[in-house]
Amino acid sequence: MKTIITCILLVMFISMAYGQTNLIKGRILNATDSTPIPNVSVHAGDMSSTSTDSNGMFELRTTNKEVTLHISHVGFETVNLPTSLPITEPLTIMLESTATQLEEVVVSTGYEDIPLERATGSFEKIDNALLNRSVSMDVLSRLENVTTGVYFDKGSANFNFTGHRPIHDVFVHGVSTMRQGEPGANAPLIILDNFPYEGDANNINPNDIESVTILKDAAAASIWGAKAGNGVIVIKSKTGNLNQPLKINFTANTTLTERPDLYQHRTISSSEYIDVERFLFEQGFYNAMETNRAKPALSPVVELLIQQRDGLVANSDAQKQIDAYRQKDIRDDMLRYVYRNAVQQQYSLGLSGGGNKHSFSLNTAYDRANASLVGFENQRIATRLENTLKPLDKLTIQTGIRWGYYIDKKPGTSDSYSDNGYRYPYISLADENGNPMPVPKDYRLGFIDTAGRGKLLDWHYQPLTEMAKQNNETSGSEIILNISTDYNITPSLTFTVRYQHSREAIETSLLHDLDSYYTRNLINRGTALDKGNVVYNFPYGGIHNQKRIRSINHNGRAQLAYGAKLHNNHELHTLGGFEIQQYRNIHDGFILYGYDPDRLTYAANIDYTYRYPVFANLASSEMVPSPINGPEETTRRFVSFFANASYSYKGKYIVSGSARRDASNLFGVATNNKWTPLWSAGFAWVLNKEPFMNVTWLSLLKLRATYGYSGNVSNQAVGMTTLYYYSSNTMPEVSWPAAAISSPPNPQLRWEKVGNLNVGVDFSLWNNRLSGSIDLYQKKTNDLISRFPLDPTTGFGSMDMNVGKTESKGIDVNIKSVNTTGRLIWTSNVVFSYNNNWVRESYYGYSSPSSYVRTGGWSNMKGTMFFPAYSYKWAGLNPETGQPRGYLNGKVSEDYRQITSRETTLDELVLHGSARPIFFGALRNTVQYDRFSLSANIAFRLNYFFRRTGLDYQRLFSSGDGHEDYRKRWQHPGDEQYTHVPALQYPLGAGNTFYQYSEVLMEPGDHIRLQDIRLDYRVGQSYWGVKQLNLFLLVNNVGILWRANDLKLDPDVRGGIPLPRSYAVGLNLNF
Amino acid sequence: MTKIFKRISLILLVVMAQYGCSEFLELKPDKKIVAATTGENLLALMDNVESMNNNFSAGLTEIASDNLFLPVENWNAITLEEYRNPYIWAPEPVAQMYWNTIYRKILASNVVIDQIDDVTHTSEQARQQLLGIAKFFRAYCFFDLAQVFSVAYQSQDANSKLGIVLRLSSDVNIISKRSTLEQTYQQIIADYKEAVRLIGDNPTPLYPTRPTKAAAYGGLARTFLAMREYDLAGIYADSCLQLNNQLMDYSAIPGERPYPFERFNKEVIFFSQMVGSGLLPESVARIDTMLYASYEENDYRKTLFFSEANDGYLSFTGDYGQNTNASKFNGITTAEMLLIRAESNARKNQTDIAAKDLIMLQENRMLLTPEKLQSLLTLNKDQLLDEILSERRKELVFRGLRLIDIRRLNSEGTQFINLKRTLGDQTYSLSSESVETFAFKIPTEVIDMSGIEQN
Repeated sequence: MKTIITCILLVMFISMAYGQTNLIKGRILNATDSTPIPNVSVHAGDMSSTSTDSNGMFELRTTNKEVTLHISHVGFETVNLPTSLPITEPLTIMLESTATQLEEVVVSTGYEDIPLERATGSFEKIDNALLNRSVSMDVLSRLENVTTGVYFDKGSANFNFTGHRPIHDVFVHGVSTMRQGEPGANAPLIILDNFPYEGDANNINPNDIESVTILKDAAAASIWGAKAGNGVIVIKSKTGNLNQPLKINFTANTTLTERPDLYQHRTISSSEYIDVERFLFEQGFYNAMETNRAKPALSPVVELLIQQRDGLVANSDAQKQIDAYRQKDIRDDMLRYVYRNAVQQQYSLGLSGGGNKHSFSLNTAYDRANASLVGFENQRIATRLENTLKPLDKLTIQTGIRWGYYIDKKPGTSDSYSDNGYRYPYISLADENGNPMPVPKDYRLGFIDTAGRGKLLDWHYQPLTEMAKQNNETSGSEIILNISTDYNITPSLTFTVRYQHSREAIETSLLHDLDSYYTRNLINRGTALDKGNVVYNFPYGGIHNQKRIRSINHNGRAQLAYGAKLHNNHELHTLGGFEIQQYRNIHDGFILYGYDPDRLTYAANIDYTYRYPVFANLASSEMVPSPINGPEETTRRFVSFFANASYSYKGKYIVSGSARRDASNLFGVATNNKWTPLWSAGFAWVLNKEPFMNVTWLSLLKLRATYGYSGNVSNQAVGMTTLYYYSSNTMPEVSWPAAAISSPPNPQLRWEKVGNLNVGVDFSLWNNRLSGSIDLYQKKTNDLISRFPLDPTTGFGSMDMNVGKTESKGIDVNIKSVNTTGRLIWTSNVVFSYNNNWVRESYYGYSSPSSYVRTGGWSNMKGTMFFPAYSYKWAGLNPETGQPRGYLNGKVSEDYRQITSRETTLDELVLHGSARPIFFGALRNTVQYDRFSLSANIAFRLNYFFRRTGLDYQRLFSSGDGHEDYRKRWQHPGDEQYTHVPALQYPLGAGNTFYQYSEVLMEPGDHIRLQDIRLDYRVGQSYWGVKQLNLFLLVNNVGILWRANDLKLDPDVRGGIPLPRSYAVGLNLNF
Repeated sequence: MTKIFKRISLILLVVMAQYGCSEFLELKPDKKIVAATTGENLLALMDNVESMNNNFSAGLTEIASDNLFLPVENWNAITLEEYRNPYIWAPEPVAQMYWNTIYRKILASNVVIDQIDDVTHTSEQARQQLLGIAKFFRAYCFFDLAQVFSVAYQSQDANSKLGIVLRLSSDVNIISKRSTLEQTYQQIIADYKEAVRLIGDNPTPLYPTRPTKAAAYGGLARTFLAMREYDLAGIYADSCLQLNNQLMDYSAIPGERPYPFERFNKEVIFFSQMVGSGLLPESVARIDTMLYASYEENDYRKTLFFSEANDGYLSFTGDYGQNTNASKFNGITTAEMLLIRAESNARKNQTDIAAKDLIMLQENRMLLTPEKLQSLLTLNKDQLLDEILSERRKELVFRGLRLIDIRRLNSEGTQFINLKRTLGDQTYSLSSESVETFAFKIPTEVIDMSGIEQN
C-alpha cells in the first residue's frame, strides 16, 4: 500500500515538474445581470485551482496545453469549459443561476419515462440530492418529511430498533383498505427498475438509487392496475449514459445514535414497587405461585419475604437486603451493559460511463450497523452492474444483475428494557466487578441452586452471558437478473420486451450450543436421576434450528409504444402490452438435537412421540419437539393487459387515459370472475402557454384533473370453503394428518376498487423564485374487503367480505421558495398534507364499544372517521372508594361490564377527534453561503389524539411496571378532587380496564419537532483528480419544539421512551 | 405499414396471452390450502385433536361443583375477574372462548355433514364412518354446551326452557336462535343415534381421539343419565361395555410418579379435555377436604389421584390427560360406563347385577377386603345406590360431571346438595333448588353479535 502511494506521488511530482506553465486569465459574471461574482472556484484539470476576486477576476497557471476549466459556485450552474492554451485574451464566463433554470423533470411510471410537463397525473419526484439528505439504511425512510401525502405511521416505532429495518407503515393518500391485521395490506406497491419489487423494501441499497417517484393519483398509478390501490412508489437505480466519460463516485458516512433515555419511562421507584410487592405478599398473591409445581420464578424480594416468613432468615437481615434492593434501578445496569451508542456505517462506490454503443454502471455498497442493543449487528453488501448495448441504431439491449447479501446477527436469547419496563425493576445484571449475575427467569432461584445436587447442567439464566453469544444469524441473499430489449420499428414506434428473474433466499440459523440457557433448560427438564445415574431424555448437546425461505419470481412484459409529433400542433403517445408474473415462496427448515457444531454430528434416533417425565415434576411430561420447520409453498400468478395514451395539442391541452385488466390465481373462483377492469382519464391545461397569460413573471401554470380506478388484491380472501393442512397433528403423539377450516367461503368476493379524483395545479412564478404544486384529492374505495366479525356461534370469528366504502379527502401542498439569491441563497421548502378518512358505507352493525376505544383501532361504522379516537366518558372517582366511574344510560355507574358492553352506544362514547394526524408536513429551510450549506427540517403533526399509558394495576401486580401516577392514586376521601388515578383495589376489579380506556388518559398529539439539521461543506480544491468533495454533518431527531400535551410526552411513541437522537458525518467524492 | 404491424403485433399479444391463461391461473395459491375433494380431507378436520378434542367447556361445571375449593389467596391472585367469577356462580357472562371454541368444533362437524356427498370416498363404509364421526362430535359439543349454558333437564318443562343454539348447517347466513331444552336434548340423542348407526364396530382406531361406536353409546348413556332416563342410560352403558370393558388395575400403577396415568390408557373410550381457565390448574384448585376424606385408607386413588400442595391441601394430579394446567381429561371411560350401568340397575332394584359392576370397579381401585366385598353383596337398594353414587364421585373427580350429578340428585329428591364458597369473610352459596335453575351467562360478545337471548 505504501509503495503504491509513493508511486502515485512520484508520478504526480514528475508531471508537475516537467510541464511548461501557461497563464489563464478570466472574469466571471452573473448571466442574469452581468455583475461580477467573487469567490468562484476555478480548477484546471490538474492540481491548479484558484478563485475569483471581488471583481470576478481570476488567474491560473497550468502545465497542460489542453485544459478543461471547472467553474463552480453555489447557486450557479457548474461550467466545464475546454480551453486550448495559450490564450491571447482574458476569458469572460457567464454563470447561469440555478434558481432561474427551468429544468425538465422526467418521472418514471415503471412502464415509461415521461416529462412532467406532459403528464396529467399527480407525480412527486424525489431527486438524488433530496434522497441523500438523510442517511437511513433504507429508501422509504428517506421520504419521510420531504414528501406530501405520504404518512409514516409509527404505531410500532420503538427505541429498541436493531438495525436497518425500520418499523413503519407507509400510507399514500390515506387508507384504501380495511384489511386489518393482514401484513402490508396498506403498503404501497414498490417498483424497482420497471418491475414490482417483492422482497423486503428495506433491502434496497439507497446509495444505488438515482431517484424516487411517488405515483399518487389514478392517472399516475392506474397503469399498475389491481396492485396500485395503495399508491405506487417507483424507485430508479443509477444508470450510465452513452458518450459519458468515466465517472467515479464514492460516498461514506457514519451515524452515531445515542443510547435511549430509559429514564423517560415513567415508572415508580424500586422502593415503591417493593412496597407493592410486600403488600401483595401479605395478601397471599404469590401463594399459588409458591405452591406451583412448575416452580415459576419469583422476584428476589418475594423470595426474601418467604424466607423471612418461614424463619429461614433473620428479620434484620431480610430487611437489610430488601433495603439494598430499594436503592437499585435496573436502568443503570441496562444502560451500562445492554445498551450502547448505535453506530451505522455506509460505504458506496459507483462507476459509470459509456461510449457510442455501450454504457455501463457499476455500484457496490457496503453497510454495517451495530444496534443500540449489545450483540445486535448487521452487515449488507450490494452490488449492481448494468450494461446498455446499442448494437444497431434501432436496437437497445439492457441487462442488469443485482446481487445483495445481508447478515443480521443477534443473541439467541436476550433481555432488554421496554416501554413496559423490566420484570424486576431493582435487580442487578452484574456484580460490582461486572461479572454477569443470574436473574430469575423460568424457575425460583432457590430451586435451581440446589436441583439435582450437581448432576444437572447449570440452570441459571444470566442475561449478560446469553447476550454475548450472538448465535442467531439471519442471512439473506438476493439476485435479480433482467434483460430488456427495445427495438425502434420506426423512429416513433418502439417494441419492448422485458424479462426479470429474481431469487431470494433467507436463512435463519439459530444455534443454541450446550452452554446456552435455552439448551441447558431443555436438557435439565428432560433429565432423570435414577439411583445416581443420569438419564438424558432430551438429547444431550446443542440445538441447531434452521429455517429457510426461498422466493423465486418471474416477470415478463411485452409492450409497444408509439410517440410522435404529428404536424406541429399534435403530439400523441400511446403504449400497450401485456404482462405475466409469478411469485413463488417456499419455506422449510429443520431442527437438529444433540448437535455438535464442531463435528456437525447430531442425535439421529430420537422418538419424537415419546413422552418423558419432567425433572422434579415441573410438568407432567414432555416430548422432544418436532424436528421439522413445516414446509410451506405459495404461488401467486398474475396476468395483465394494459394500455395508455396521451395526446397534447400545441403543448397546451393534454388528455390522457389508461386501461388495464388483471387476473390472478388468488381467488380460487372461476377465471371469469378473476378479471377486473380498471381505467383512468386525465386532462391538463398548460395555462402559461396561452397568449392571454403571457406575462413575464409566470413561468409555469398548469391545471390538472384526473379520475380513475386502481385496485387492491387480498392475498388471503378465498371464494370457497377451504381446509388448511397442519404440518403435523396438533397433538404431537397422534400421527394422523390434521386440517382446519381456513376461512368461510364467500363466492361473491370482489377485488377492492379505489376510485381517485385528483385536481391539481403546478406553478412557478418570478423566475422560479416561488414554485410548487397543490393537489386536492378525493379517494373512494368500493368493495372494501374486511374481516367482518361474525356471530361466533357460526363457528367463525370473522369472514372476508366486501363490507363497504371509505372516503379519503386530502390536500397536498408542495412549495419551494427561493427567498434570497446571490452570495447567500436561502430557500424554503414546505410540504404540507391534509388527509382524513371516513367510513361511508358499511355492513357492520355496532357490536360493542371495546374496539373503538382502543386508539389505533380502525372504525368500521358508517359515518365515523376511519381512525377515530374514542374513549369512555369519565364520571370521576367514587368519593368513598376511589374507584373509577363511568356512565351507563346517562347515569353515573360502576357497572363496568355493562359500560363496556353494547349498552354503551357509540354516541355515548367521547369522540376526541382523529387518532392519526389530520395535518402533517414539514418546513425545510436551506441557507447556502459560499461553500457552506445549512438546512434544517421542522416536521409537524397536528390535530390528533393518542392514549397515554396510565397506571394499570394488572401490569403493576404481574409484570413489575407501575406508572408514576401511582403516587397520585386516590387514598383518602377527598382525593377525587385532585386526581383521576383509581385507588388500589385487591383483588383487582374490572374498573382497572375501564380506566385504561377512559377519556382522562387521552392526550392531544399535536407537536412540532426539529427533525434534523444538516451542514454541508463543499471542498473546492481539485486534488488528485477529485472533481468534487462534499462533507456533511447531520443531526437527526433533534428534539420537540412544541407539543400540545402538558405531560411532555412524545406523541410519536405515544408517551413511551423517545427515539434517540443521532449524529451523522459523511463525505461524497466525485472523480 | 406501421399501422398494420402495430395491429398484428397487438392481436398476437392478446392471443398469446389468452392462450393457456385459464390454466395458468388455476394453480392453487397455497399448497397447504385445499378445497375438500376426498373423504380423507374431511377426516383430517375431524382428526385435528387440538381443535376437536380439547378445550371443552365442561371445565366450568367442574369449577362450579363441590369437588374443589380455592384458598382465598389463590382466588384473589387471578387477575381476570372473568376467570374468577364462575367459582362463585356470579351472574356474569363467562369468557367468550367457552362458547366460541365449541361452536368452532360444531362448524367443522357441519362442514363434514354438508359436504359428505360432494367428495369421493374409498368405500361406502368409509363414507358412513366419517359421517358418523361428525355426528358424534356435534352431539358431544351440544351436550357440553347444554350443561354449561342451560338449566338442568326436567322432562316436564323442557319445552319451555331455553336450550342452546342448534347449528345444523355450516351456512354462516343462518341466524342463530336458541332452541328449547327439549329440542336440544332430542338433537343430541338423534345425532348420537346416527353415529351409532353409521360407525362400524371395527377396527378400533389407533388413538381414542377419533369417535367409535362405543363412544357414541357412551355419549347416549351420559345424555340419558343427565335426563334422568336411567333405564335408557343403563342400556346404552351396557351396549358400550359390550364393545369395551377393560379396566386398569390401579394396584399395578406405580404411585411414585405424580402423574401416574398414561394419556391414552385402555380405559379411555373417547379422549377429550375440558378447560377451566385460571381456576383448574393444579397449582390453584384444591380438593374438597370432605371428598378426600371419603376415600378409604386402602383406596389406591388416594395416592394416584392426589398430591399434597405446599399449603397442606391436596391437588388433583390423577388426570388421564397428564395435565398440570387448566386443562383436564373429561372423556368417556369404561369405569364411567360401569358406574352408569350399576346406577341404572340399582335404581331398577336389580341389586345383584349392580353390585357386581360396583365390585368389578372397586377390585381395580382398592384393596377390597373379603369383609367389604361381603358387605357390598348384602346392601339393599338405597344403600347400594348411595355406595354407587359415592363411588361415582370418587372415580369421576375432575371430569366435569359433578355439577350434572348434583343437579339430577337434587331433582331426584333423595339428596339435597347445597353449594357454598368461603373466601375470607365472604361466603357465597347456591342452594339445592337454585342449582337446578343455574346456568352460566352467555359471553357478552356473543349476545352483542348474535342478539340471542341471555340466560
